[in-house]
Amino acid sequence: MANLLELQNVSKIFGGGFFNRSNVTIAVQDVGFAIPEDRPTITAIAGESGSGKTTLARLLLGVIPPTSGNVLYKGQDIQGMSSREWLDFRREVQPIFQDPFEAYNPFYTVDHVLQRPIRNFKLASSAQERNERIAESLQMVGLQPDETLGRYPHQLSGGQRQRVMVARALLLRPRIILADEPVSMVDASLRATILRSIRDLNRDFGISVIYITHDLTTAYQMCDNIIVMYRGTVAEAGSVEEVIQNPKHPYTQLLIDSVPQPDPKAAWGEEDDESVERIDEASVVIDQCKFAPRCKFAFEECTASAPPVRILGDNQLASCFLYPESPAVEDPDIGKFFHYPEFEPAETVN
Amino acid sequence: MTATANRTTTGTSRPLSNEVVLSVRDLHVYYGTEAGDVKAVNGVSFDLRAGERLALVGESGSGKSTMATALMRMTRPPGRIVSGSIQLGERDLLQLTESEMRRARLAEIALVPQGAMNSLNPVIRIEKQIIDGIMDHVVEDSPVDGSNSESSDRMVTDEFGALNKKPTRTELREKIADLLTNVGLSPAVGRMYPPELSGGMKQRAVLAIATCLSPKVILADEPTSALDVVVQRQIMQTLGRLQSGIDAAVILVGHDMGLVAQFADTIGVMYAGRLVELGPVDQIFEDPQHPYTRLLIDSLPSFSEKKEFVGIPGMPPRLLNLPTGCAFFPRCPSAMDVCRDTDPLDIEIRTNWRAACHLHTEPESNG
Repeated sequence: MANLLELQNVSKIFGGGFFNRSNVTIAVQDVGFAIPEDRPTITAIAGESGSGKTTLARLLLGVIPPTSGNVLYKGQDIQGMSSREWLDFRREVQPIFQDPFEAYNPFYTVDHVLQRPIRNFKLASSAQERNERIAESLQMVGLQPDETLGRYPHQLSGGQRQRVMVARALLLRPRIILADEPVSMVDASLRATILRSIRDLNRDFGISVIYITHDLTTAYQMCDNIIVMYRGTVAEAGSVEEVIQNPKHPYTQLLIDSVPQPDPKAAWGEEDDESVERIDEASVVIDQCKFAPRCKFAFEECTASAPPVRILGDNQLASCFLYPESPAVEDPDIGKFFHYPEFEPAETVN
Repeated sequence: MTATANRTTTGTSRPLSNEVVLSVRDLHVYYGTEAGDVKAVNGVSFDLRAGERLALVGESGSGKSTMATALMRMTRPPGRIVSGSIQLGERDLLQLTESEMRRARLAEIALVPQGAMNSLNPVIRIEKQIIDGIMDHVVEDSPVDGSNSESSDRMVTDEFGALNKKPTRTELREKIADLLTNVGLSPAVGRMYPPELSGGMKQRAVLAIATCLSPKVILADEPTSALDVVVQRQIMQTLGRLQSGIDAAVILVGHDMGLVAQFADTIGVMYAGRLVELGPVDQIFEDPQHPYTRLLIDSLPSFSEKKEFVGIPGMPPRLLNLPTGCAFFPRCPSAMDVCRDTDPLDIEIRTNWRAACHLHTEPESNG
C-alpha cells in the first residue's frame, strides 16, 4: 500500500540556538504515521493547547521543516522537492484554518480568494470555465453562488466564511485536506453543517482529511481514526471507536471525562483534583513519560524512561507503562494499526 | 466515563428556594445605527432564585452578551437600555445613580467577563487587582480608625455595597490569601503578574476578584471559552464551589450546551433578543418545548452515538427591523400560518417552565 503523505520519526524543536541550548521547546517528538493513497480516511489529531497538534499541521504542510525525520509526499521528501513537485504538492494538500475572519483580505470580495488559486495553478482556460468551477464548488458546500459571490467578507456570517474556505480548498481538487480547528470559531449550530460538508468531501470525492482539534466529540462523530497528542508525543492512537469508547491512556481518560456531555444525567468527571492543575514545564525531561507529572497512576518507571508504544487492541495503540504485557510496536508508522473503512461513495450529495 | 462520579458540582437535582434575588422585567436594549435601532435584547423577563444557576444560551447575535452587560449596567454607546427593570434585592438597578451602581457592582452583582484571561491588567500584581476592587467600596465616612470595637468584625458590605470599614493591611493580606486559596491558587500567586500565570490560573484569579465581596449574583460570560477541557471542568467546579460557599446565584452566558447541561439548574434559550424558552435543565434536555431548543439540542455531538450531523437550517435573523411574528419562523420546521404575523406569547408549560411558541397557544385559542 503506497503512502500518500507520510511522517517518518518527525521531531520539531523550537528555540535553543548557540548560546541558549537549555531553553528549548520540543513541540513534536518522534511522530510517525502515514495516510495511505488508496483508502481515503478521516484522521483526527487531538490534544490540548501545547500538545503540538498545530506544529504537526505546519510540518505536514511543509511550512516549517522538521528538526529531524522526514515528511514524505508520494514517497518524495517535501523539503527536497523541485519547484514543479512543490507546486503539485501545494495544490493537492489543502489547508483549512481555524479563523475564517483572518483568512480574508477585507478589501476584496470573497471572489478573490476563489479566483486566485485558479489563476495560480492555471486550472481554467477561460473566465467562464473559472466561474463554473467556482459556482460548482460553492454548491458542494451548500452555498448559493449568487448569494455569496460579489460580497465582502464582513457581509457573510462566520459559518458562510468558513464554508467559502472549504469551497476554496475543494476548488483545487486536492488529495488531502488538512483542517486545523475549522469550527472552533463558529457557533455550535453551524458546526454541524461545516463538519458535514468536510466529511462529505471524504465520502463523495475520496479526499483524505486530517482534522486537527481539541474537541473529542466532533472528532468521534466525524473521524475514522484518532491520534491523541500530549506535549509533542503520541499518547494514544487508533480507531475512534476503540480510543473514545475504551481509552487506555490515563491522559485520554482524563480528556474524555472532562468533556461536558450535553446530557444533564451524564456524569462530568471526578471531583476537582487540584493536583493536575499546575505542572512545572522545566521539570519534564525528554526521556520520560510527558504525562507523568499529571498522571494519577504514575510510578517510578514513568519518570525513568520514555514509554514504548504498545498494541492494546485490534486498532488501538498507547504509549503507557501501565500495560507492560502488551506487545510493543516495531513499526514506526502507527497508521498501520488504523481502521480503514471501505470506501463507498455516498449515493446522494445533500 | 466514570459511573461513580458524583454530581456535587453540578446542580440539576439541587432543591431551590423560592426566594427571588434578581428579577428582570421586560428589558429592552437597543443599539443605535444609522439604519435604525438594532433590538439586541427585546423584552426579556425572568426571575433568578437564590443559589440558582441559570444558563443563557443562544447563537452569536442572540443578545446573550448584551443581556450580561445590561445586567451590570455596563452597556456602552451605541447601545442603550431603553426600558425595563432589573430588580436586585430591594432596588431597581436601572434607577440607581452612577455612583450607587458602581458600589453595587462587585458587592451585589459581579461579572466574570468573556475572555477573562485577558481582562487582567498585565503590569499590576494579582493582589493589587483584587485590592482595587475591595477599596473601591470603602466609603469616605467609613471609620478609618482600626482601633474601635467593630474593627475585629470581618469585612462586610452593607445593602448599598459599601464596606463597613476601611480594611487594614493585615486584613487585606488575609483576605487575599483566603480568596486565592478558595479558588485553588497558592497565596504566593498574589505577588505574581498575570503573564506569569497559565490561562486556567488567570481565570481562577478573575474568579477570586469576582467573589471578593460575596456578591448575590455572579454573571459569568463564557468563562471558559478559551480553556482546554480539563481546565474548563476545574474552573466550572471551582465556580460551583465558590457559589455555594457564598450562597450566590450564577448566570452563565454561553453557547456550549454540554457545559450548560452539566452546570446549570435552569436554562434560558435566547433567540433574536428574546427568551424563547426558560425552564429546568434536565426536563428541557429531555423534552424541549420550543422547536429552536429542540434543534439546538439535536445538533450537539456526543460520545453516546454516532449520528448524522444535523445543523439548524437558515441564518439567524437580522435584528434591524425585525418583522412581526415569530423571529424563528423562517427556520422553524413546525412553522404554521399564525407564526408569520403574530408574536408568540410566553406560555407556562409547567411551574418555572415557559416557552414562547404558537405550538402551545394554538389549541387554546381554537377551543
